[in-house]
Amino acid sequence: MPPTPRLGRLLAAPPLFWLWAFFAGPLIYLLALSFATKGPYGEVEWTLTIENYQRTLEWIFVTIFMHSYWLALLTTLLCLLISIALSWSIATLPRAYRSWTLVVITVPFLMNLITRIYALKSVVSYDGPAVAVGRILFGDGIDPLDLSQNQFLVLYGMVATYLPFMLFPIYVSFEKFDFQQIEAVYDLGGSPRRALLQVLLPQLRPAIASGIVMVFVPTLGEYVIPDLLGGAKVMLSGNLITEEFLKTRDWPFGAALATELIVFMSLVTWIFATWGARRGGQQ
Amino acid sequence: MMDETGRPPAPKWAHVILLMVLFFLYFPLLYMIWGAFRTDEYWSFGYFVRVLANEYWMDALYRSLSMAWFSSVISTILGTAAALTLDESRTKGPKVLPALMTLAMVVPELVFALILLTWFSWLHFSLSLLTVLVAHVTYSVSFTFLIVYGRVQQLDRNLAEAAADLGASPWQGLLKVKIPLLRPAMGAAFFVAFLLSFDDFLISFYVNGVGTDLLPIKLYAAIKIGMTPELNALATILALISGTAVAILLRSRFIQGMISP
Repeated sequence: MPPTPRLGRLLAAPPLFWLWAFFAGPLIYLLALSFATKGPYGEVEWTLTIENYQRTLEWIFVTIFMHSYWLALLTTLLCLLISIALSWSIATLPRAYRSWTLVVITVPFLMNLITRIYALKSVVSYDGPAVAVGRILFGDGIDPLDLSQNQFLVLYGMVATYLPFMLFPIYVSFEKFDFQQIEAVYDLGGSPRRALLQVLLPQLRPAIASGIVMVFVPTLGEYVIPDLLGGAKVMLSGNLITEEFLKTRDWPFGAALATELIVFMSLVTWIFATWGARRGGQQ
Repeated sequence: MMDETGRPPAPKWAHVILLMVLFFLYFPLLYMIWGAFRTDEYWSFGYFVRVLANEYWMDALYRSLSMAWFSSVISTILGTAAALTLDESRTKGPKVLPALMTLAMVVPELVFALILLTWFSWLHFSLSLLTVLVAHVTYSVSFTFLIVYGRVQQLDRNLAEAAADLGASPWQGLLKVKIPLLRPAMGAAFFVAFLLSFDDFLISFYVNGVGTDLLPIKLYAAIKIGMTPELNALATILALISGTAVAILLRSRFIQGMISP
């Protein structure tokens, strides 16, 4: 069909308007806000300053951010390793079971996050099975409160929330991978290590790159998981920013923190998108 | 059909990890559901009855369901329009739209939540269910766009040309040829948007008004106070609703075509 610019423009208008009015506009406003000043009653005053950014460099905030990056890194790495194992396992199952296994794995991920966190909390609550098992193993020395809120649970919650974003791209390229190439490596005298590092991984690279972005970026902004599973012990960037916006109501400072987070996220996305698009070592 | 000769069997540990992942995913859910039925000496639906009779929870459930319904209708329409735009003017199409959609795709929930909160406050929009609706649509529209656009790219362009040759106006070509072909993808997009809205917590938490809490927010507040069998029942109901939407989504022609090509 010849291009019909009029119809095209008509169709473009509503989504374009919506995205400018409720996405791009607000993003620009956030950037402006990060240079504003907080008034005595929490209102925004348009005295331009870079003080907000200077404050984000205070040690307490830097440690919170470092801690978030560390946890996001750990989550991403764990998701990556689990995804490779799962893809391998699923890709070699009988064909009829494969899509069913994928469906069974996916269903819990599509359920309400609060519901899943609640389920997890019910397992580790003081009369739950986790405490019972802990009592059997370690006697009475175990503190139910330590068990119900800790770093490990936060990590578990993160992995249990973001795993599919890593699993799906990797599984899809695993399924496409021609394993005869591995045999060829062996026939030519290559080691399994070589087959893995120089044949398999380079071909999985685009999938791994998109998986890393899809897991790492949202983990950095997570609020509910550390809030409900980590208790008061774990403060992450998402919690810090939420505190600034909803409790302290220092919006300019919150905006500065958020802007830094967005810049960092974009940087990560850009780096891995480039890395994933680079041609692999095959052929 | 893929050539699968030479595909080595996965090592045992890979299968062990698969089983462990399934256990870690399902055990908490099953334990929670069990807790919803368990009373001191017998099993009963008592907690479910109490939750379903409680207006405090049912009002919130009704709000959450209507919110998911309306936001996914609007999001599907906007996403479809955007996907069609790129098809209609493929040669010199607007580059802004796909760029914004891609950006919206990678930006996490938290960012949507806080930019919209500050934006609404700047515009003096008081926070209400309407602001939550706008926020949910904005959050999900890049997903509906991506799903429908995937299908738009596969459309046989000859069909539209044939329609034009037979005297159909661009509008008729759109409504009578393209939209019917896109319907399965639009259905899938609708359910994805529905799940995104129904499952969302953070965005609603930021931009909701006073006294119009959606169900996940009320559940969150209740968890902070303590856990009761009634909450188990409520969470089970929520899981059931999401599960139903997932089941419909997975049975849809669109997804079926994707998972078993």
